Amino acid sequence: MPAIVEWFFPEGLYTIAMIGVFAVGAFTIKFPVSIAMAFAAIAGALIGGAGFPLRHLVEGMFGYLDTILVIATAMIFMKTAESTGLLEGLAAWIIRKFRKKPAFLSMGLMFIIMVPGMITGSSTAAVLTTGALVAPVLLQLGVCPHRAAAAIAMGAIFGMIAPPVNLPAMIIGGGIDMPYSGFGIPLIICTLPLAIFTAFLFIYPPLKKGDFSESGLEAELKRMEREPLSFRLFIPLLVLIVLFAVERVFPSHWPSLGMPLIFLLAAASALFSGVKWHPLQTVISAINDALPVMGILMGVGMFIQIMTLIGVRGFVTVSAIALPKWLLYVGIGVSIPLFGAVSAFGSASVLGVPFVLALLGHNEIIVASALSLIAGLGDLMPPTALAGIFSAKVVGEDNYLKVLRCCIFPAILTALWGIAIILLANKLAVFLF
Amino acid sequence: MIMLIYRGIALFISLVVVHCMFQEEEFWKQASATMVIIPLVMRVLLIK
Amino acid sequence: MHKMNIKGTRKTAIFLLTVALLVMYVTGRNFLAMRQPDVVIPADGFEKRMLSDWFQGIHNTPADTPVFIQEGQEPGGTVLILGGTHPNEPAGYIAAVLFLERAQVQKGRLIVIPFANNTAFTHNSPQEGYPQYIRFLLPDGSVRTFRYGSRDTNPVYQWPDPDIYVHEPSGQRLAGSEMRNLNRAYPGQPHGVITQRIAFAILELIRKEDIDLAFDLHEASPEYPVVNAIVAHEKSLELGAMAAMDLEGRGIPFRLEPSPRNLRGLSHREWGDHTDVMAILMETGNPIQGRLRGRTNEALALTGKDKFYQKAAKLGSLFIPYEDDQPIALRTARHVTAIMTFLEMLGFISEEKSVIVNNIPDYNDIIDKGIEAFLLSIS
Ligand SMILES: [Zn+2]
Repeated sequence: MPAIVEWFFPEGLYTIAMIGVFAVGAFTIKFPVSIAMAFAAIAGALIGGAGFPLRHLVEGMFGYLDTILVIATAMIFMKTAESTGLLEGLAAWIIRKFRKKPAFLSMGLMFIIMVPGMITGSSTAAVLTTGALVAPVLLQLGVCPHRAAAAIAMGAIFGMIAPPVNLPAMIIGGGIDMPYSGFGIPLIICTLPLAIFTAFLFIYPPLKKGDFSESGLEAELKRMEREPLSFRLFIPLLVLIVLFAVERVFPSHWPSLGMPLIFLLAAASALFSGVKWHPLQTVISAINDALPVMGILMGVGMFIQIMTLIGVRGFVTVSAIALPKWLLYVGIGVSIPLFGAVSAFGSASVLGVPFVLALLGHNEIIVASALSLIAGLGDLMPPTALAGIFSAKVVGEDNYLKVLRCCIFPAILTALWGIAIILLANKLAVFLF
Repeated sequence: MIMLIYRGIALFISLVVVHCMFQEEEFWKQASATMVIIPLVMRVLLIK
Repeated sequence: MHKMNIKGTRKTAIFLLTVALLVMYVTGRNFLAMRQPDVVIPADGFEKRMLSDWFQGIHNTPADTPVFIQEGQEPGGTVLILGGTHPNEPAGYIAAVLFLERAQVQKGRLIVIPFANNTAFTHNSPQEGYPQYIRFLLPDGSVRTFRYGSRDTNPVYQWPDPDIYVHEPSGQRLAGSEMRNLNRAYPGQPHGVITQRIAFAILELIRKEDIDLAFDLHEASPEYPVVNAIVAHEKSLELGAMAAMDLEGRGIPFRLEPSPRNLRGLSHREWGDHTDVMAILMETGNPIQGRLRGRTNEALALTGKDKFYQKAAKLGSLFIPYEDDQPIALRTARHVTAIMTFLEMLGFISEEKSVIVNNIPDYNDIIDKGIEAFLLSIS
């Protein structure tokens, strides 16, 4: 048998079958993405000779149990801030304060989008908290919805990669026994220039043109300010910031509450904000909004477990590292974001670790930082595209693919930037360490 | 202690998901919610 | 094809919840079955105790684990063999079980803990597709079964993971899930989470029993640089060099790695820093742990035969010599033979601390006849 055939059979075939079943399920029959993923996993197991492995299907879902708790509770927090009028009030305040300084306002808004991602290591948290806060501001300032959502999605991803907390880098480090320290400056190099660029690409132009009607804006600002910004209204946000900050600054003196509990405590503190709102309805509507993504993650969990079980994961990984040296960098730039369709964290684990090992000899901290940046792009890759889906949601756009289209250019730039950093890793290391 | 709190959170969320299931009018979306409930409940019961 | 629209009603919701309950019942029974301990048959002369005898903090918890002690006729040193730190690294605990079921101690004391992180034997890591059991068919037709567990403590006993695991007392930061990794938990915390308490209990045992030489047996993926390796603390580096040289001469090469000073929480670092023991960690190459592996099942755990590792070996991406396979007999034989070599070297360094263990099969014997030839029959 020719080597290539032996290489491809049967795992290559399984790969195509799983992706094929998913595509038919999601796009032709129009099942929810989660259900299409589950069917693809079941089909993979049947074709791959693993029967109907109920235990594996259920076990796979547990890989994202903690993640769905974060998503559910972050959504509850966001809906609460929305219900009390805090989000819109704060947005209105920022517009009034800074609308005469467009460059400053662009970068400032981008930074605000990034902060929760920097603290939580999750782009979803960033999109759903400050992303949701900034969204109405951007729209009022004349940024079109798609570009506003793209700015939020990209900012959330840069925030997730920026220090101090970067989960993909920790996952990659864990795979090669590298402690998570010394990553601060490399991660700033990875993210800061891209964040500034994206701010000027999406946010600055309409702000500079001042292309919005003063009277329409004024009316909208008045509407957004229905709740006066009192100290009590800020309580949930303050609780959130304080709990996160204390946990990060004094990690050994303060018990780790974890993101879900922090989000819930912050949401609960809104009971003291002196505004009438309906806690139960807010929670239900939050979970209802979060359910599609929680379901997708469960489907993805099954999918990864089965692809590992029947050898598809090994096929994908070894095919990626078998690329000739000159193609290796292309492989990194393409395969890591593509695999991110399954999940950015999964991609960091499945592909990030082998690539660091394939690149031994380059400074490992800088390589892992750059790979984590590229892995972050996975959050833009459909069908999961967490950053894309949620940012579309916060600007009120139903079709998240339109948002993703706007992200293509900055995403390609991000991948190129990551690859450039890997190529220059040892030169950078001389400066940094 | 923290584990008890988190089991409580998982239970709370699974109950809300069940509620949402009964409001949902599309079968496949109900099925998707079922997938979310399984691991949450199994963790609440400390089975897996 | 058009959209497969089925209306969702209260009835369909109840139907789906019933299905969910059924799925939970069936898989729940399967998951709970892994909490049944594995059967081991200690050789004559071993006394069975529990790890909680050295630290009450794990008494009546799922973390408590058997400790087997055998004392020889002649006084000598004390050696500890720890298997099952990572229950997804079977050659580590199978080597410990082999000592437990065969050893005849002539001089000194031998302590064997075959299942160090008992709580990690009770589940599998999600999304790895691992088998739940590995089995050996003995010559008399009976079967010995061992659980194939997870690298980390079962979250059922320690949950949730923090976002970042801050190692105590060093303050080193690691990914949150590493908090359930016993080999990042040393020196342990008496009032910490369960994994930290196991680590503390093991350190208490090392201190109170005055252990001279201790082994932590592991396996690693073939693409990981520290594989087929002996990792030694400063205090054990000389002994490690002697053993590695001797093994090399017999055609069983091991990389000798000094324990990195800045990597905290690992046995070879913290055992050595916090007690007088000479700490040794050993790794063999185990394809089923690796990220490059193909089809994942019991056969892969036992034979290490994998199409994609064959390809990766040709690409030069591996740190072990890998031709076709990497059977568990070979991996276990490496551990067993290295331990015996260390015992020999210990005798050269100090007559009074020496430990002599008999009835342990030699390297070629294990490889030729397989593990099944040296396990005891339970029938
Ligand atoms: Zn190990």
